[in-house]
Amino acid sequence: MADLVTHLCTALLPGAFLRGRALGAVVLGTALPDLISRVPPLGLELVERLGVARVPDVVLLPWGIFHEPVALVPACALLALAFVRRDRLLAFAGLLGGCALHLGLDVLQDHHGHGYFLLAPCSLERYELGLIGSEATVSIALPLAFATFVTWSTVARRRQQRIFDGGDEGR
Amino acid sequence: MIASGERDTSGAMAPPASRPDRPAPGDSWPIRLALAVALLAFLTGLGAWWAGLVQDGTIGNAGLILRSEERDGDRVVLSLVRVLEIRGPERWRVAEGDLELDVIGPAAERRAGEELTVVGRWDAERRAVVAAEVHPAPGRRAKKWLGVAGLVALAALLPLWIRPSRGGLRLDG
Repeated sequence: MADLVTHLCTALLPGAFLRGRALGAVVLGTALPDLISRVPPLGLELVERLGVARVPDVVLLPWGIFHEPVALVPACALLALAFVRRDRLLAFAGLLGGCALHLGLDVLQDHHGHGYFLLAPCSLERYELGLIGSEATVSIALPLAFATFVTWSTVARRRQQRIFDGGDEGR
Repeated sequence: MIASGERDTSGAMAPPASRPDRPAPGDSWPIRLALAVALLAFLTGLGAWWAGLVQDGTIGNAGLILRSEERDGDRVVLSLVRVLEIRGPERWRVAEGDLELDVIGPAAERRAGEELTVVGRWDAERRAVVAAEVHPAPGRRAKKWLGVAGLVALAALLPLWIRPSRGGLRLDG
């Protein structure tokens, strides 16, 4: 999997130009696969390592599937239920779009054949394109985050300027 | 008085057609709760199925130990495992979660704590993976910190676009 900063930037960078109400859901969607498949087991392993409690395998092992489409679609639907009725469908579409961006970036990576179970449970074949190394995004994450910040600042400044100019013309 | 679900045809003093804060007919909390419970049950079942596949070795590398003879000569990828100890000039031990496996391959460049990916074949007789390729992963620590930074950024940015309201969360552009 690519790093979370790069994942967020895949939504935030184009989002500077294509701003819409769904942006928040798309951004959350780009992080969702890692949030529900990596963060809980890391937390549980930490609990075990610190000696707080012994975590049984049955609690540690299920999380891997939550990075795959078969679990992400219902997870997005579950999350979308937390939104008001008017925004629910848009939130669901945005979350799904974000998850698709996430998986799209991850599938580009090369894990030596140890790819993703995109068709589970129909098939337990692993898929990956192997175009970039599994750590390739680490070196571009910070420049990409900086470029995203600069883009957002520039677009926001231009938008403000346009509003200001429009206001002047109106007088 | 107008019952829920009926249409007001009088036209006078009609409330706004859609009030996002107020649950619409057919959108009451019991229905949302029932849907949420059904989705949670599906996800729990999916997780249990997956845990079973990992435990019986269908997914992951636990099958190397559970069905050692059967897996003899199989191609193995130990993805992003941690070196636990160097056991000799040609043997070292790695951990993949709770699973610990021996790897046969040059140990001169290996050090305990290092994270790497090993591609090789399972040797049932020696109960070890014979390494054909070893790919160190020196960027793992940086990747973890980028993960933390990403979580912090997400927590800071999301309230700008997703806000709580009376009927649930609301998207703000």
